[in-house]
Amino acid sequence: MFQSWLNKLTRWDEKFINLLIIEALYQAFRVTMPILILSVYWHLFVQLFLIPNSLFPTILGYANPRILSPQILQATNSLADFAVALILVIAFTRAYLSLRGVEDDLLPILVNFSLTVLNIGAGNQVQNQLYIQYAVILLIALVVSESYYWLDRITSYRIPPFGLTHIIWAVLVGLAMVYIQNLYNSSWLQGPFADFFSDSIFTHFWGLMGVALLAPLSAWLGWKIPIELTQIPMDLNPVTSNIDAVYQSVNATIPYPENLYSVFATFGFLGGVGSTLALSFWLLFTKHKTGRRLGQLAFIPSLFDNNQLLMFGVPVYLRPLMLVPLVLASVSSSLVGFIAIKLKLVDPAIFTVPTGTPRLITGLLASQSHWTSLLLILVIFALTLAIYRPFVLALGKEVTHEAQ
Amino acid sequence: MKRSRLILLIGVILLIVISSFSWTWMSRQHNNDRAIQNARIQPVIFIPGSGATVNRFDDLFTALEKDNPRQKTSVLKVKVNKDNSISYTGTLNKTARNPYIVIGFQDNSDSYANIKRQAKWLSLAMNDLQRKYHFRDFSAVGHSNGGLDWTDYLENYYSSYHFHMRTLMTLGTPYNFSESSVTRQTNMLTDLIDNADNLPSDLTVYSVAGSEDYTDDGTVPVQSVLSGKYIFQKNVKSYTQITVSGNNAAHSSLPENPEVVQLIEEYVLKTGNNGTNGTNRRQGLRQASRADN
Repeated sequence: MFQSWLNKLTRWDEKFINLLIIEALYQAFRVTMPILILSVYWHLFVQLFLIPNSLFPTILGYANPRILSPQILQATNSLADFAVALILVIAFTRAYLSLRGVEDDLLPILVNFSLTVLNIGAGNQVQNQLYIQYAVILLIALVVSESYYWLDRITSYRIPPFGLTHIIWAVLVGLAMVYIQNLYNSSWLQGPFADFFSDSIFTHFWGLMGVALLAPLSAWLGWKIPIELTQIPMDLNPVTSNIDAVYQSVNATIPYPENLYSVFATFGFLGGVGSTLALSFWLLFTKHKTGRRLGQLAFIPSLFDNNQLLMFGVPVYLRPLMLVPLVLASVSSSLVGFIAIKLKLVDPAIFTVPTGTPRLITGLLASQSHWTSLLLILVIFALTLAIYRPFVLALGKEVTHEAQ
Repeated sequence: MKRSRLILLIGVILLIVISSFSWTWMSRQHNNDRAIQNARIQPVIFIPGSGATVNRFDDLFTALEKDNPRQKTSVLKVKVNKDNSISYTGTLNKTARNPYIVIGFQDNSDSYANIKRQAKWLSLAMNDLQRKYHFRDFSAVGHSNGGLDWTDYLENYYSSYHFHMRTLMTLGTPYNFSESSVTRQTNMLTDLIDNADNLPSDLTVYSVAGSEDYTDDGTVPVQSVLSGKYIFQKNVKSYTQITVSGNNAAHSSLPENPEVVQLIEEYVLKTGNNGTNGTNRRQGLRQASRADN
């Protein structure tokens, strides 16, 4: 029964990815991959070796070399993120208009380029990171490209590329999009959300399962999830209350054993949102060369919980076939973690771990039941491997169909 | 497949290496964090002005003890040398709730360049003191350029994750050096204003100015002391400007001025006993995460 359902989903997935918008989007992802690889590895290198509290200088006890100042490091990270977003938008506009049969795409590319620069420039910086919403910038690029296509079609392709009508179109569409951007570029949408996630609801079952469900769903839609969910949330009130209690007395009762740190961050985020470490593991051993290459590139960043290469490379964004394991892995890992803490099979993660520590070993280090926590994480990892396995096989079949 | 296996192997080795080194780091960190968390002392740390030594506040301590004979206080004197080494004299009475610490510098010359160096030395001394005495909460008093050292330290070195400064009192601190007009900002004042965003938002600051003849305290122009408002106002929890006048209000007499002694007793020592470490840690963590922005 599961197999027939999966076959149905795969057929639907194949149809879906042949939709014009999705085809253009995935073409754009392929074009963006080289710069994304550079960006992901640079971010990783900075996080592990260069920033003031980076992982290796901290745990190996040597002074951070301070080759570049923190401000310059931050600027290079932002520059890399900026470059990825700009190339993505340009590639999407070009691919979409080309599939639409528009030959001269210079003006819409310029408009989309400028709007993306404005969009990112106007956004807040949340904890040193540029706030880039792929869903928003791509949606704007789509509206601009589509309106350009219809304008040309209505005027029977008679307007010169930089003719007056096109210029007026550019001004009007630009103003409209800037207006929309202003609506969404508000700080309540961008964070920080430390106060929100400190609410007691996120120390209870439904709150935690809600996060485990909505975080992968939102990432799948291209909507950036809050930094409080991607990093270890040490500044949430329940988390700090737990540390306070343990430091007062080793045998203290932990006030909030189930919280975003002990459940979602420790068990539900192995390899990034959707517990995608399992996906990169299977890709390492897939029969298809492109998939395998992607797995080889994505595995080490995935170990450090960065799954951007998978999101663009598989691609995972908006892919029906990938939504199910993404949500299932996130929810089931968090659920197993929650139950294990509730039944006191493991102690919750409480302590601060060095910045950038892989989630696979967070339980080992941050919980008082070190080895049981590690064992549970390995069990959960095996569970996510089992969840992703049939979907990776189905993905392989799709690639074979396409090649044929 | 061969390359895939190699990458998997590298991944596993990386995990093992990180786990084992992180394990050692964690146990070291826990002991330290636990000691700091449970610390009961909240020292008051004094920094003298340029040209003065660690003995600068001895008269002040005598006056403080005279006012409160039941509270015998001990003074630890810390001198940071030019080669970054730190020498200690005196003892810190760990049974006292608010023991006094004086931090002085071997190079106590008067220049902006040296204030920047002193702020760095101050950071070294603070970290060393925390390692030795495991405190997190403290209050600070800076006389003259000592106040500039604290301000530079707060803006460039202070981490609200590791420390919690409750109250800062500066005595005759020339935030605009010897400039009597605020329209002529020195480089130092400009820098201090530019970096004022880094000041801890839960800090209470008192800036005490001496006034001998309405314009200065014999050394520092009152306007220069008042320039502190451009740095602290709206960036810290509260900023209060206090002017003491009369015969004992000369710049070098400020620490012994009876009014100043009273102000220290009222605003630095009495308020230093409130609050709990747990709450502070929570506030500190929240600020630390924001400060990383």
